[in-house]
Amino acid sequence: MEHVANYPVIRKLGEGATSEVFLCQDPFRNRQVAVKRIFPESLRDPARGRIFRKLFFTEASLAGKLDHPHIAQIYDAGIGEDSGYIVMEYVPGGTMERFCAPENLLPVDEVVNIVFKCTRALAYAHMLGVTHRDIKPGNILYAAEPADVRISDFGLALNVGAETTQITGVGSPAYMSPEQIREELVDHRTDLYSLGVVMYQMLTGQLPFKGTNKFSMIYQITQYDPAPPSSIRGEVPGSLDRIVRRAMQKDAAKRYHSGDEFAQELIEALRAGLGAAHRETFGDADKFAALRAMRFFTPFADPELWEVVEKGIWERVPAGSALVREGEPGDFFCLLVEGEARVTKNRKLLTVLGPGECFGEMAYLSLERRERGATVTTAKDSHVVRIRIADLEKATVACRSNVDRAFIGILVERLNLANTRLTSG
Amino acid sequence: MLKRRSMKEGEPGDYFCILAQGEVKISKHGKLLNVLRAGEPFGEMAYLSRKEHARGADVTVAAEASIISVPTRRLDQASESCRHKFDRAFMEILVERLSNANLRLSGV
Repeated sequence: MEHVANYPVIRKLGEGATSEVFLCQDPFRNRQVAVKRIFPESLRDPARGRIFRKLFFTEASLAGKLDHPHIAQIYDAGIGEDSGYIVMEYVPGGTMERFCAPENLLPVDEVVNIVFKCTRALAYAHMLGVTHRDIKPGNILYAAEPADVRISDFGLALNVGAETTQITGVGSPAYMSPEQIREELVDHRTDLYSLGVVMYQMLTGQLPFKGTNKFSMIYQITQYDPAPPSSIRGEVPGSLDRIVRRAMQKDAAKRYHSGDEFAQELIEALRAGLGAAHRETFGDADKFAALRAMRFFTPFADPELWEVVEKGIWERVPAGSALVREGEPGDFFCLLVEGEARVTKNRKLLTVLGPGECFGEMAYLSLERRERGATVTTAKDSHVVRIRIADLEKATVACRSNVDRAFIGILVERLNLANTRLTSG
Repeated sequence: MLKRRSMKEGEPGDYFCILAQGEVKISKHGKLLNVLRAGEPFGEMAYLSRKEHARGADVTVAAEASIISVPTRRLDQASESCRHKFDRAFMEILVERLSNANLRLSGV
C-alpha cells in the first residue's frame, strides 16, 4: 500500500483483527504519524460490521478533543461506506507489555511514575466525559524513554455526552473490572480498576487473575482477592499494596473516586520514602506534584504543567551556592521548590526567599535588560527548578501565557506594594 | 487647565485605558505617582491583579486628552494569542514602572 487517505506510507507498523496501522508521512506538517486503516471487510461484516463501525467512529470522533501530553493525540479521521482511517500521533518506543515480563520489570519508583502519568491522563479524559474502557499494557505506549508514556487506542471509549447504548463484550478480560466483565453499565471507575491491574502487572510481572477461560476469569475477577504485589516482589512497599488493592476494589464505590485521588496517593507513597536510593534524582511524578503545590502554578491546567515538568532543569543545591550573580547575563529564571535563598545587592541583604518563590525572573520579564540586578545564594540545602528562557519560548502559547500571567500577578503585587510605600506617610 | 477625574481609588475596575493623546496623572492618597504620556496604558492593574479588582489609584485626565477604553470582558473573549500579546505588553510596562518605583523608594 502506497497511501492511506493521501498519507504516503513509510512502512507497516502492525495489524489487528479489524484494522492495520501504518507509519506515514504527514506532508503538510512534515511529521511522522501513525495511520490506522480499518479493513473494508470488517465494515462489511454482516454480524459485527455495525459494531466495528461504531467503535471506529467513537475513536475518530475524539480527533482534536483529547489534547494531553500523556494521551496519544488523534489528529484527523475519516470514515466512509466501506473505508475508514484515523491519523494519530506516532509514538516510536513500543508498549508497556514489554515491561510486564518478569525478567524485564522496571524499578518500582519508575512504575509509580508511569502509573501516575496515566492517572493524570485519565483524570483529564474523564473530566471531558470520556471513559477509555480498554486500559491495558498494550494500550500504553512509550516514546524513547519508558516513562514518556501515552495512553492510546480510545477505540472502545465511551463518551458520556453522547446518548448511546454501551457496547459490551469488548475489551480485554484480564484487565476488566467486575462490572465490565459482567457486562453491566460502567463509568470512569472501570478505567481506574484496569489501571490498578496494569500497575499490579508492572510491579510483579504477573496478572492478578489467571483464568484459563472467560468463565473462570469472571469467577476470579468477581470473587477472588489477588495476592498483594509485595508477596511476589519483596521490595514493593506496603503503601503500593494498599494503592493497588484500593484501585482494584470489586465495588466501584470503594475504589478511588477519580484519577486525581489515585494520583494523590501515588505521590504520598513516593514521598513517604519509596525506593530511598533513588531520592537523589527527581521523578516526573515528584516534579509534577511539587509544581502543583506552588501558588505560581495554580492556574495551570495539567497539560501546561507537564510542559514545565519537561522543560525545567531540576537541581539539588547545597547551602551557600550562588545561583545567579549580580552583573552576569541572565538567560534563565528559577523557582525555589524547597529550601531558602538570600537575595543580595552590593552584599546588602534585600530579601529572603522561601519555597514557591521565583528569582532571576527579571531577565525574562524585561526585554532589554538581561543582566542580573542582584545575587541569589542558597541559605539552606535547596531544590531548585531552573527554566531557560530559550526553552520556554518553545512551549505552547497556553503554557507561556500562563507563565506570563503568573509573573504579571507577582509584578502587580510588588508594584501595588511599592506604590503604597511611596504614597504613605 | 480643566481637569476631570477618570478613575477613583476603590472603585470597581472593569475596563482599562490607553492614552491616545494628552496627559494623565496617577495619584494615590493625594500624592502624585506618575504622569503618563500618549501610548501608555492605565487602569490595567485591576485587570491584571489576581484577586483585587478595585482601582488602586486615582487617575486625573486633562480635558483635551483622548482615551481608548477597553472593557476587560471584551478582552477575555479575544483569542488566546491576542490576550497573550496584551499580557506581554503589560509585562513590559509593569517592569518599567516597578523599577521606577523601586528607584524612587531607594531614594535615588
